[in-house]
Amino acid sequence: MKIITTLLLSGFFCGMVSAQLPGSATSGKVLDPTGQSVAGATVVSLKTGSRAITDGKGLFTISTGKMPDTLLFTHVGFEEKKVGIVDRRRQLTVVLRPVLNELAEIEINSGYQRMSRERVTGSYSHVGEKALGEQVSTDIFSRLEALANGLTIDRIADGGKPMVRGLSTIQGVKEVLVVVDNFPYEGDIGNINPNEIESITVLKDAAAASIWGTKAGNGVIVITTKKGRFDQPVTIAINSNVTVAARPDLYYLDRMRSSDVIDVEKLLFSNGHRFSDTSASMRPPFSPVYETLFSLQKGDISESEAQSRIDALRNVDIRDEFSRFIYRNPLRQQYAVNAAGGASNFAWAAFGGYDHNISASAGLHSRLNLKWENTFSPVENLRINTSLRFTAVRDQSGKPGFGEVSAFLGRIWPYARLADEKGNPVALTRDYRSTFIDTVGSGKLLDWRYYPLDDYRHAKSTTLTQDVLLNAGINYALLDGLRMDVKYQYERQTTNASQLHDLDSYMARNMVNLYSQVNDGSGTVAYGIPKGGILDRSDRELNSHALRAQLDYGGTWHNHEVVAMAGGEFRNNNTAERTARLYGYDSDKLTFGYVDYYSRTYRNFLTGGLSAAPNNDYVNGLVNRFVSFYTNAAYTYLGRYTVSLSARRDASNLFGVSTNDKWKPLWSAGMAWTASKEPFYRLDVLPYLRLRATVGYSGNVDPNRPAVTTISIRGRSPYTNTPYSDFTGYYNPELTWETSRQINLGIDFGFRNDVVTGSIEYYHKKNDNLFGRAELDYTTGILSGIVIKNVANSVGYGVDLNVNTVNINRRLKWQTYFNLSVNRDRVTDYFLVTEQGNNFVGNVRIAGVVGRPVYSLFSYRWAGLNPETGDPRGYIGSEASMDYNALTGADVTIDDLIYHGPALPTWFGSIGNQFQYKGLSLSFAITFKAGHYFRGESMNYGELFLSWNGHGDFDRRWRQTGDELDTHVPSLIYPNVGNRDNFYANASVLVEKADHVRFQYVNIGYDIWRSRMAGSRLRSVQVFANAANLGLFWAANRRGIDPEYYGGNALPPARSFSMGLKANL
Amino acid sequence: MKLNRISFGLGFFAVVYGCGPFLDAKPDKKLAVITTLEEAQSLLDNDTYMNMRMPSAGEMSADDYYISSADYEGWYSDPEKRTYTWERDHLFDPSSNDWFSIFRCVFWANTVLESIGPLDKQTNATATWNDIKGQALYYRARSFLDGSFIWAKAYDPATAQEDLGLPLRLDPDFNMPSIRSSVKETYDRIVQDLEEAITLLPIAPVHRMRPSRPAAYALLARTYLAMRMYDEAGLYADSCLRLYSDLMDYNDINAVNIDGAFPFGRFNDEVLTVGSMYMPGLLYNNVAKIDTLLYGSYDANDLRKEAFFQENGDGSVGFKGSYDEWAALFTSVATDEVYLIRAESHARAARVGEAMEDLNTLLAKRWRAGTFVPLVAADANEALDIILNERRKELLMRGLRWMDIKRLNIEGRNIVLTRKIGEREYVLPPNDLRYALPIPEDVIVMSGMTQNPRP
Repeated sequence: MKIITTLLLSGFFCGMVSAQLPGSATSGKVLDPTGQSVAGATVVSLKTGSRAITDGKGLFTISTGKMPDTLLFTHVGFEEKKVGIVDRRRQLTVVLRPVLNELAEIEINSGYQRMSRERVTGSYSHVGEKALGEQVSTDIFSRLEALANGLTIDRIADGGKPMVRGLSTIQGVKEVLVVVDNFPYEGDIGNINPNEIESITVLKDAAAASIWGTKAGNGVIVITTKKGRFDQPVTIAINSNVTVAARPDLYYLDRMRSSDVIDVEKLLFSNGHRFSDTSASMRPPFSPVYETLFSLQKGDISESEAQSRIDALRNVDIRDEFSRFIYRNPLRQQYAVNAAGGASNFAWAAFGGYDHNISASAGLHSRLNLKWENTFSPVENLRINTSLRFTAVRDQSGKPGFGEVSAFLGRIWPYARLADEKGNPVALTRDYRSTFIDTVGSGKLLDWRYYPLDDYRHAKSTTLTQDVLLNAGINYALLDGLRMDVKYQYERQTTNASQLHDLDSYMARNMVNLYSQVNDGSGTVAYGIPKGGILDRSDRELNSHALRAQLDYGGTWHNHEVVAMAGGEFRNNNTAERTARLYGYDSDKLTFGYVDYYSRTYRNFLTGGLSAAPNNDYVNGLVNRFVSFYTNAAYTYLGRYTVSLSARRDASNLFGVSTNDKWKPLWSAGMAWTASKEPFYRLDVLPYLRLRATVGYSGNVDPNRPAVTTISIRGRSPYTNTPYSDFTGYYNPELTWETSRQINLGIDFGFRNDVVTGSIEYYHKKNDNLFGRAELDYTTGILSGIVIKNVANSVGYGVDLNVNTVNINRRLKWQTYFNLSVNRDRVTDYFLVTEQGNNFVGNVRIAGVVGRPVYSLFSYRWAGLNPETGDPRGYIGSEASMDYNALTGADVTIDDLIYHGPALPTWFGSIGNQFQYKGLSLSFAITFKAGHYFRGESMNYGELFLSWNGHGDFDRRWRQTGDELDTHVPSLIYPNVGNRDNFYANASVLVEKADHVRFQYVNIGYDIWRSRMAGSRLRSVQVFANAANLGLFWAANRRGIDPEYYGGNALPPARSFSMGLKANL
Repeated sequence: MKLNRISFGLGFFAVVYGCGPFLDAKPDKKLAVITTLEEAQSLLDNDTYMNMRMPSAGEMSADDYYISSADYEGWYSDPEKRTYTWERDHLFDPSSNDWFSIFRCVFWANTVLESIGPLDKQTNATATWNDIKGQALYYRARSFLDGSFIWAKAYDPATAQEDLGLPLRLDPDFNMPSIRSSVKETYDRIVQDLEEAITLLPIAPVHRMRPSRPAAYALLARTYLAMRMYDEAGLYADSCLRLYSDLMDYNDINAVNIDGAFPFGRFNDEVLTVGSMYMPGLLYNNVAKIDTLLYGSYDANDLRKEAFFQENGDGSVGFKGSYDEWAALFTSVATDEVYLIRAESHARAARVGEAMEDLNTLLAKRWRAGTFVPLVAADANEALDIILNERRKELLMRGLRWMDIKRLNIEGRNIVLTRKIGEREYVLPPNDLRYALPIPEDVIVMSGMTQNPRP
């Protein structure tokens, strides 16, 4: 108590002192044209050379020389201004005009401190509100790709995750760290509403990211939300829009025609293919064509009847069925209100956002965001900040999507019908033979048929995610320039998912039937699983506490300027999960039935085998704890020489590691030189030139990789009623941290009048001790790829270029930004690797070949089709061969394969243009990726015979001698040879270049109203239209494939069109 | 001054708290290092890997079944097709195969053996400790034995010292190289492990998912049978039956659901401990058709004809008589096998009476009540022939036939296997090198071990 009183009193006196102006000082205030205070502006007395920086309220006090003096005001993002003063006692009010180019107006927020770009040495990419606002997507990451420099979304190796400057790891954690305001965001990134974001900073190099320590190895994305400021009039910004997207274009999937599949089925039937399944105890289903042929074979139907039944299916295409009966145009609505204001000692900001999306298959995704934040300054030197953020996300299932309707083990014939001519749902043979389920149980069982178009009404899943984020912070100026900052954050995210299959759903009927016994004599049915619905619930709860205490120092004297901080941080994340199932559930009466999970008393209707009821109960608990200490200091001399240093030490509760090994110190150092401020600098065309260099380390450790043999209890054995377990980690004492050393060299430049501004950077990453799969002889009892060791070293290097130009700046304004990144990587050491070629083909995966990129594309050498048979041929030595076991076998080494190139892009970036004429604005952006390769898909006969799924290349297959000159698609043969397919699928002839240019979005806005008077209630109203996902401008492959969305059932995102309104009050 | 104190206090608090229990919390509550007997036992109670992943390549190679030419031509798995026709190489998918199933089991057993070493044999836990060690030894021995049937030549005392056996991994350290031992060393290890297990295992297990002393006796009897050391086989079979000798009467509808899709329960009275194959598609009973001569050898009054076989509708029959209750083939030890081992041992020692008595005890429970006439043999040779014939009829599709062919061909019984696919015929002559299957090629590449000699 006494301490607090003392602190408060001293703060009070400090205020008193600063209020009394010394004789030689001048004070004043810096504002922007809208009347908001400008913090962080530098004020220099040209006579004395003394300097000052405006505080959070835009206030400054500076010692001035003999009158008259001139003060120079500078701030990144604002035009320089000189103000002559004749009376130093007069309070000044200086209005700075923002520079035209918004991208240059940057305050770097590292999550620990905010600094003007002038004082940083590291590498950052900054994206402002205006640029982000040109897109309307619900999530934030998809907006970033067309804007941020050095960042790409990797859709090839790791499923749509942002990647900053390529890989720093191979098998380690690849997630970038996302920081919201001050703390890592532990919840789902989808919770964040892009409309409440003021700016996003991507921390790219080690000097920028190392302050985040071990979690920063893959780059950091800092999201800064909108804040209120002191002495700010109330502003309200409203954004509302609606988006309509195209239906999924299923014909993008290059599939074999139904008619061709039917002909192949007839061929299979004539060979007796799968005939033995007619006596299989699980009664696997046959396709309608096969059933028709069986009927014909038995003499139940005539030849012509069979013919007409089969021909009726030839023109049915399941893609068409989905387009007609399932898919609709997705509709997305977005509403957002930002409000902010501030008095002299109080500032507040509020946000409310609501998104309502209906997917192509009528699924619902809605999100509500609410935020309240305020800063209170009860006394001059004390600021208390609190914020409360609430998010509720609701996901509700709709109809099944393409690929989610299956007849048997995920497979379906391409002529499956969903509805009859009148649009009524029809049954699809599923899991069992139709002739079996039509007669089984002599009508006593529940209907065993499956109606895909109707089933979704009875099988509903709902997920509700709620996230509460509470922040509290105290910031107190202990001494002049020295502030103490304590922050606390609590986050609680709960996810409640429920899946209700009511009694009319196929899932519940199937389950009840499977465990039913029909008494043939009495005709009664005994139900093992209670007759009713099945309710699955799963709940997940994340509780996260973070506490940070930090000292910040910022001081200027004469020509020296120091910005420094040091602090410590604890974080504790607890996750608890539970799942449970109720059988016999009746959602009207809220009743359920009892089952036996232990005794094996349920007899399987099909096999007669005994079992306990299938159990879906599960609990789990995870705890992740981190302790960190960090410091960071930057010293600037004469406003042009800056050196910076940062260090951080992290520890976590890694399992099975002694405490000493839990600590990982990381550091970085950097320097910067603003050459253009040198007295000798005379280059008038280039008034701004700054050079930067940094070096630093970041690390990576996966807390799920313990260094001792560990087991995980999986549950209780239903036999012995004791716990049973599995291995999760293997004794691996050499396991150590991954480290990544990054060097960054950068030049920032600005031509006269900021006509061209930007930066060019070169970086080099040296990644050591990378985790990788140890290739193990599985005689050890452990499969390859299970044991993780520090197996590899790699290097990555590249160039990030960012150029912003003002092309025309009259009544018509035209600005362009251009981001280009070159990123290359190379494995320098990889231990324990096998040379076996078949490990390097197939899906894109880590190659780990020394001298090659981490993700490399290899293929088998192609020797063309055999002119006699249409069989694919490869090479064994220099001989063309059709020995497919040898061509794909263990004796083929990596040296026998063709290396095409990297599987991830080595060139990528974006170009955006913004035009403005009076109230009309137009902007558009394109992105590009190049330098990489992908494996095209083609005909796989084994797959066709097994699952009715054939590739459109079937049309181009070899049929007769001479075809081999025009095609590489092998002939249709029966019986099939599995490795023949395997060889062809991985042959060099199918590899394509993946280079492409994508039209990301175009946005047109028109200010229908803009206030000319200050203080007007309604300041502006803008309407806008946006078109997004406009597809490829150009792709290097000739087959119309979008390399980013390819393989299986993957579709490119559908084009979408939006209309909206933005109003500022 | 105050500031110093604050920051010092903060730092101090952090360091003390940070290095203390705060960072000692387990990141995943289910994680454990094996420090208790219960945790060691939990690995062995993972029945999926310990009991349900037994190898099938031997059965696939054997002659109790055939598949139709249509199925063969259209079959999706090349390795299975190649195994069926005894190709010289490429019989296994990479990684996910019998070799891995076996050596995973060995690794788990070795981990348990190593981790219980330092655990206290507290006075009241001695029985538990012994039980766990016995189980681990049993599983290791069983895995080596199954592996020997597939990848090693039949045990022949004349050449066992030189013939290639299995790599005997006895240590869980995965950094140790795999080196093949001789067939003799392999069998010696199996015998040694089982003899020790017998002294440790309880007579009645907690549950028959776990091995017991009778099961270990039975497995040792099977081992000696494979080694053609028939006296020892008989002695251990006898030891087993002295402890446990129940047989099901197939007339008893409570024991055998004779019309069911799968008539036998997983924990039926004959099962000593549970174990079944990891099923390749080729062995499912709608695909694998039972050899017509074999099927024809069952008498109409032999209830096995109904209990073991299903009509496929096309004249062929499939096997539904697995002691594992569903399509997966039972390949562990059961009392019927033990009776047959003792019978064979008696016959080979010319104890015709005892031999036939054991056989008739078993068969009496297999025939329709009141129809069984005990079999008689004029001499030891006839007794042996009868017993071997009945052995095949009782133990078909049990993963034993391959081993039987191998050992009997050494004795000159001249069993020639043939397969017919359309017009093509495949023949496997007695004692062909292909009786020792090729080790998966990727294992050879990664380990540098010697491949079995190929013809």
